[in-house]
Amino acid sequence: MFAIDEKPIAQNVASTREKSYLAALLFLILAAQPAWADKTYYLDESTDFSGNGCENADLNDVTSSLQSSLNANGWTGQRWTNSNAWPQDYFESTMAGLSGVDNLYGDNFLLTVYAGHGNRALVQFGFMRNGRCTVNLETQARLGLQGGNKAVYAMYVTSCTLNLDSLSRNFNHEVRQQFGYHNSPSVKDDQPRDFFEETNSKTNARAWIDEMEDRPGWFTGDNSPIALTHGLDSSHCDWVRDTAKLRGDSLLFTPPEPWGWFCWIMYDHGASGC
Amino acid sequence: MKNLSLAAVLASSMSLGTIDARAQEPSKSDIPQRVATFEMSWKERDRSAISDLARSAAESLTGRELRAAAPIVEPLKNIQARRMQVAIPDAPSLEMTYLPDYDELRIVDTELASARAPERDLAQGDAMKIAHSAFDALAQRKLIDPAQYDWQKADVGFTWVGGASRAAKASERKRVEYRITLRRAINGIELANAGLRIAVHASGRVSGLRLGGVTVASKQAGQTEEPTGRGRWLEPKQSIDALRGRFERDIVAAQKGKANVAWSRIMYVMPEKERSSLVEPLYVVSYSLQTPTPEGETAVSRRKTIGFSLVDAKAPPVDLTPPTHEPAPDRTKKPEQ
Repeated sequence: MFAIDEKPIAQNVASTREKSYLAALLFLILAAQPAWADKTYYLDESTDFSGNGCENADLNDVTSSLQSSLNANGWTGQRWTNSNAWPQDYFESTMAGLSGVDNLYGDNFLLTVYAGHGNRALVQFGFMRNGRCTVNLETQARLGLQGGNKAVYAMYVTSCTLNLDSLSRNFNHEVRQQFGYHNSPSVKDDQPRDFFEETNSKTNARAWIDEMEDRPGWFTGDNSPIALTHGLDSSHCDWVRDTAKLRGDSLLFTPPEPWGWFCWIMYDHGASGC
Repeated sequence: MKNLSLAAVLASSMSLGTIDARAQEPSKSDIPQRVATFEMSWKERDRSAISDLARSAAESLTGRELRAAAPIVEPLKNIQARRMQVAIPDAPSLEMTYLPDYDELRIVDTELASARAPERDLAQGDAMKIAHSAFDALAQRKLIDPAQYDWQKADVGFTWVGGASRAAKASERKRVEYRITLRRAINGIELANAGLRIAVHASGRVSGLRLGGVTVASKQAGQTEEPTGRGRWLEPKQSIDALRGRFERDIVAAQKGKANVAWSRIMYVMPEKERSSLVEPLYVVSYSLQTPTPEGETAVSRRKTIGFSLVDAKAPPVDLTPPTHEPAPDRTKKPEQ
């Protein structure tokens, strides 16, 4: 994969000659970027955790309205739930012994979302498949890399997956941003949709923390949402965080690799449950 | 990240946390001898009322008169959530959104929100004083009744930013905001669905506000808020120990996991699917479950919030965060690989 310096291209254009050169370079680079302007999504969701081999509390559906909004905004993709949502969707397909199919599902779309239960760098599915209920995102998943290699944004509507004290366990991916929670969150049905819709005008990072801090209509401060951004260096990371907008069609293409810096922003209402 | 102070780096080795009044269990004295049910409803303001609310709130935050031009109130287009956008020409840095479903105004000072590398940290006591000044300004403009809030029960959260090189793994971090939440209280019992949250930037300026919530049908009689309409007084018959026992017996024992209680308190909570309702205070527990997985991991559930009647020991627990629609099933079976 090419490593490109996106910000200098945006900021340092001084002359027509340089513009022509940079335009040609940008074209060549972007032609090699398979996910350029490809507004695709993959949603896996578990709501039924009773009697399927992966016990936990049953959940509300938080991705069907998100899918509806994505579709209405020109995105295309797939949504699978319960017995059709598999840990293997996120297992790295090139790793031995996992029977992973992330090349077809979890890492084959620009925006990838898992909604269910979780823990630090972990997601839990509701139906056991091949003896598995969970995906360890540190050791068993490689989003934006290897098989699939198309994920650019990852959202975990799960408890603790992006807990700050173990954030580095989510570093084995090559994506622009990851959205999750530092604690065990209370999430109403349409909140992921509302987050996506807010990214028309707000940055992803700002929309995520603003929309997820509380259930709508509640003032209990139940959630600690965190937006984790990756960039080439400190200034590039800040620029990505302050530029990327899912619905606003900003930075909907593969990031330059490898990332060398991470930056995050979080509303902190405690780490309850983690 | 650039511009992080040494103090901030040292602070990164300290754990984050909120002032944890939230996690405190109620004591026996927290159940009053009598409590009232109240009619509650979600009111929706018209554009004129939204405009007045937004301008007064903006003046409270900025300390400036913003009367030169009328606020512009427009619905956000092409979204499924109902939202109104408010713009005040004299305060262009304020991003203002009104949520009609919850009668709630949200304000973010975008200029301060983008200032994520403040030169200094702000002491919590100073942040509380600044928030209190904003609170007083809101009260002066009649946007809140200060008697309905108890600063002793304020929750304090934070906005943190952090980052580092990939090799460093551990983050440097910096606190850029305090987020101070006050819930409306009725005769000393908090209401989950109304209140305010004041954000205080590390620079010492107010950087955001959430204000609004459900409307309570009541009248003031001396120090007591009396119910009107269908509201009435009740005498709680459950002890706090009995209520804790019900949670253990009815909820925890029925699950295979271990419960981790985030907070519990006597509280009014508006039913999520109702626009108006007669609401009685409940013993409310917000918790998650920790469950072992076949792989030897522990999975943590998303948060659940449940309520128990203070009056009727036989009343079933109330799911206070229920689904608002049935899960949408798949139309086809996923292809086997």
